[in-house]
Amino acid sequence: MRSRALIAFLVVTVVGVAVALLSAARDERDLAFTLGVAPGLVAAELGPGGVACQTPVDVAESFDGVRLFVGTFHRPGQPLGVTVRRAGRGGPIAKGRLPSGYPDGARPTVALDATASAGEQVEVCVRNLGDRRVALFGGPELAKRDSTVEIAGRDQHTDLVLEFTQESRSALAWLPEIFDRASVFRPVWVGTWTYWLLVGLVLLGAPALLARALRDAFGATDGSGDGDGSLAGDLPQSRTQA
Amino acid sequence: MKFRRLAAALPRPLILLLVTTALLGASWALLVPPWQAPDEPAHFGYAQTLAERGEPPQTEGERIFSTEHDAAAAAIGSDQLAGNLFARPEWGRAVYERWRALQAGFGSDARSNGDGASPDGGNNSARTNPPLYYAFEAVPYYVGAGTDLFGRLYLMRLWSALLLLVAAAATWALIGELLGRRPGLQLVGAAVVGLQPMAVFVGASVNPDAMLIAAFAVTMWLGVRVISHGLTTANGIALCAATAVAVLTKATGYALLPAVALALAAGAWRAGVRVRPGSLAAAAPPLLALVLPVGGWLLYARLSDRPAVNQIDVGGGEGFDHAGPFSYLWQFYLPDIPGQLPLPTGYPAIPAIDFWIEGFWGKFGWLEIELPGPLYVVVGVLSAVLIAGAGVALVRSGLRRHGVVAAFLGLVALALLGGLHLTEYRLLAGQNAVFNQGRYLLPLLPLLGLAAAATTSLLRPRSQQLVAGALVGFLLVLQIVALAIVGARFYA
Repeated sequence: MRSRALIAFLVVTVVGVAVALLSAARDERDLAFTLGVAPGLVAAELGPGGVACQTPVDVAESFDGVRLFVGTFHRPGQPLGVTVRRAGRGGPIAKGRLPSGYPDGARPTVALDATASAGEQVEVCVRNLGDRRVALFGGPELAKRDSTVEIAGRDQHTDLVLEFTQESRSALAWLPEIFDRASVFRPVWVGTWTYWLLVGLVLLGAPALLARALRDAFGATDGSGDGDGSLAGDLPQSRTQA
Repeated sequence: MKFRRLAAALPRPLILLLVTTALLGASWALLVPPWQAPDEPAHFGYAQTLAERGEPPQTEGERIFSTEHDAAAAAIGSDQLAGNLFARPEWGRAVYERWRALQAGFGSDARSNGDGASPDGGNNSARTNPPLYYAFEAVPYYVGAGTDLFGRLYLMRLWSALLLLVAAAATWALIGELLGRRPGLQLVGAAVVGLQPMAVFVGASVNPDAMLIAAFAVTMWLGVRVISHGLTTANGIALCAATAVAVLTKATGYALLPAVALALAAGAWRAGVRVRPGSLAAAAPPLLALVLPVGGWLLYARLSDRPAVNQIDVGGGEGFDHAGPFSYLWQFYLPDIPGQLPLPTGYPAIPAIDFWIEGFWGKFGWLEIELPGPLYVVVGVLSAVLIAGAGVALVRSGLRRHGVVAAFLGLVALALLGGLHLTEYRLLAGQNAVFNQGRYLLPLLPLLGLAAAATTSLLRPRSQQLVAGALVGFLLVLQIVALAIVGARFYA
């Protein structure tokens, strides 16, 4: 009798956690960090040879790719060049090129030839290398405070939808970074270790506690229920029961 | 010593469940970025204003939130992040160090200069809430006074999460009161409260709903005790005090009043109190436990020229032309029928599913984070089965024998639901705005726990064990999935 609740609990828990882990293992992610701008408008329209720069950008984590949100006016996409350089027109750090032919409203990732390091402050410039115009989607300037889009040195009062990427890995493989990210802007006593500890406690400790609770509950006197469906015995008799 | 005696008095399965709930609460509290729970900026702002200035947020003032609060929100990008799946919280160490340097230069007024309102007419949206929950949150705020804002915010979350333990324990007691001492059934019911993902998420944020859930649970338990055992001074005072806690937490607490009045009347009748001056005097202390604190708050609100209850501005906008309350209610729960004026564009096809199932079981962050679709189907079916099972259990146990208790609990549910629908209907008519959210039903979660226990009690003992084990396991898996989805949304 005692083992039935435990067996049911363990089967559901093990199967459920296994499915969740499998899903996480198949969930590919590549995000290093993002400006967090939601696409709401055309932040910069670039004619042939036009350049738009998002500046400055704090590099939260190293990256070797940049994902854009590009409109092509219902035509095949134009080639784009992306340059990452130190903020304030500093030296170039990395470059990349997006080939033509991508669809309208695409979110292509431009691979860079070098890695930009965490802690730097950079600007990210997108140049239209084609012969037709393109639109870079973004949001109003307040979408990302302390950063803006400039074209030919003029503030556009907008921000680009920009995501900075690393090599794609499963969500499980990102766990160290996820916990490191979660530990920023937290109390001083919270660190990456806190999240590792919590994962261990939730995945191992919580099932153990609940398994013990079920065992105790159904192992107790009259704990298995009488199966007659009655809501209660005589209510006054339950005076000391709660 | 007292703690040991208390722990010894609690059944061990309940203690183990409460430890699990506390563990999950801590996980939610520390995982969710600052102010990424519904209305958390407003609730934190209220608590800080109360703790720093000794008064609730004002309707006229200089700053809605403190300098410290605004600077921290800007540093982490919390306003930009709210509801925006393109955004992530700031996790750059350089930005964090800049924030630390900035806040190191703050004077004491940077914490205390948020008075709840700005000169341009803006104000703290939580200002119309009563102050009890925020006073409760002042405890961790003061304990963490020597830490930075994030130290205090997360202490407040962890402290708030403890309230769900109260709700789970009260649900255990409620089930014990109705089904007798059957730890297996009590564990199943209390687990529905202590492991439900939305309840733990909301409970582990700075949000008065945490206290409201606990107050409803305790009130339902004590109300059933008063009805079952008869009114005594002690249990009457306890019931009324719990009701006062609900009322002083959020205006939703007023929904308890009709049911509590019924419980007091039924309990008094059972105790032999009749309408005689001497007998009625015995009912005075319980009523005073309700009237004095609530009356004190109402008087304070009146004297300080502030609203005593949450006020929803139902006018001033472009109203929605609809066919009346019956049509609204029909379309809330059922597909619309030909010729019926539809609800406004943007309203879910069947709001009851969107709000009362999906939003009730799990929509996280600012509601932008959803569980996988099939899980909503499972919890929807599960909820329906539990409610239907409770109905069957009630009928089989004898409606006459438990009629008053059923009326009491039903009145709690109906009053809350009725209040929510009335508010939304008025808001639709006045401003064409949607009001309801799934979390507003969380105070009724103990009833779902009771329904789970009652439904399980219908089964043969062996089947009870299987169902209990599977249900508790499912709730734990739901928690783990929800935590994983929320972690991936914010940090991957």
